[in-house]
Amino acid sequence: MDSMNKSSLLVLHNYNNHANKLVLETAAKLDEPAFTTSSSPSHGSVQGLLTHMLTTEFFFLARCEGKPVISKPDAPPLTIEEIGVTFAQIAEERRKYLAWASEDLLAQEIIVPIGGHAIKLARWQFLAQSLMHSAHHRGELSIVLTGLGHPLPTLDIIIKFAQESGQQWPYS
Amino acid sequence: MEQIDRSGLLVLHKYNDFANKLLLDTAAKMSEEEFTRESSPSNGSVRGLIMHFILCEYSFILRCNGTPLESINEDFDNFTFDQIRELFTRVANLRQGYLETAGDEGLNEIVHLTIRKLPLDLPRWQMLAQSLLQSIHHRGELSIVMTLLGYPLPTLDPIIQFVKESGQEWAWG
Repeated sequence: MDSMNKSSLLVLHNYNNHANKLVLETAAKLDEPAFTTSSSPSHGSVQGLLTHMLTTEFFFLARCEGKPVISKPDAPPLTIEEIGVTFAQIAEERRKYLAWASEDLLAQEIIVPIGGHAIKLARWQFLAQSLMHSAHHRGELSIVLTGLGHPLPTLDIIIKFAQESGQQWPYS
Repeated sequence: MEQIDRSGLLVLHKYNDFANKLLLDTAAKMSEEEFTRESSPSNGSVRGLIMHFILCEYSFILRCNGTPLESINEDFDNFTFDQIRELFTRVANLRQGYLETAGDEGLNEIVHLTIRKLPLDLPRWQMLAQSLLQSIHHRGELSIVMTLLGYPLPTLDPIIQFVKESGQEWAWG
């Protein structure tokens, strides 16, 4: 069976960190009403979409680490500043986890309760899910933020690859 | 330096195939007018978005297997929906075949390409990762655009594919 090793997950993690920062920089330009207003058929608003991405990244990382996840349904909505800080904390925690985890640990199956079912998958699958899930929702945000007058810059990973290798990206 | 190896690319490729099929199944329910209507700030329409990302997938796998892009002479602008679906299958089969036989050396080998007259040298695995991750982004865009047109996509999360492949039940069907 095909799988993702630590190196592959680190590529996705580094890209996720890069792309989330670009999204947060754009979202920070919205005023409060635009940030919270009903503007998206997916999770209601920019605030709702970002919070959903963030909690999903947190949930799967914590499950891989074996840490408890305590739901706080009555917690007040997060501000853009709080979302930015929390994304950075999750990214740092995942970076440290991936640096520490062995290939065997990432391949080991764990059980995570989802929708009343005990889902048994390898840790790498839960981590890949959280990172690819965020890529999908950044696509949703690209439409929603454009509709609010704040289009995202191009988030393509090839731009990161080109810049990291010291080459010029023709569209920048 | 970190990289995505052949096995990791196959994970991305198989998920891409899974999600693209769900997308096309939903798009197939649209009328021609809905499919081509100006409805998206990204690439104009559902058709425009779909053609944009499948042609990106196509161009990157052709570059990886050394096929000159100039040798492709098809009237993509006038493709019917059935032809578009066939193109998705063709691209997925090309990539599957390439990845099944590719070695680490080939995936790490630098390929020279030109974008807007500027040279760009990247290893093949980066070009394949670009094409597969870009498609996730554009399916996200389509999920908003198609919902607003009355055709919401099913959930495209890779975990659903992982769960079903392992013979488990996904809570939401």
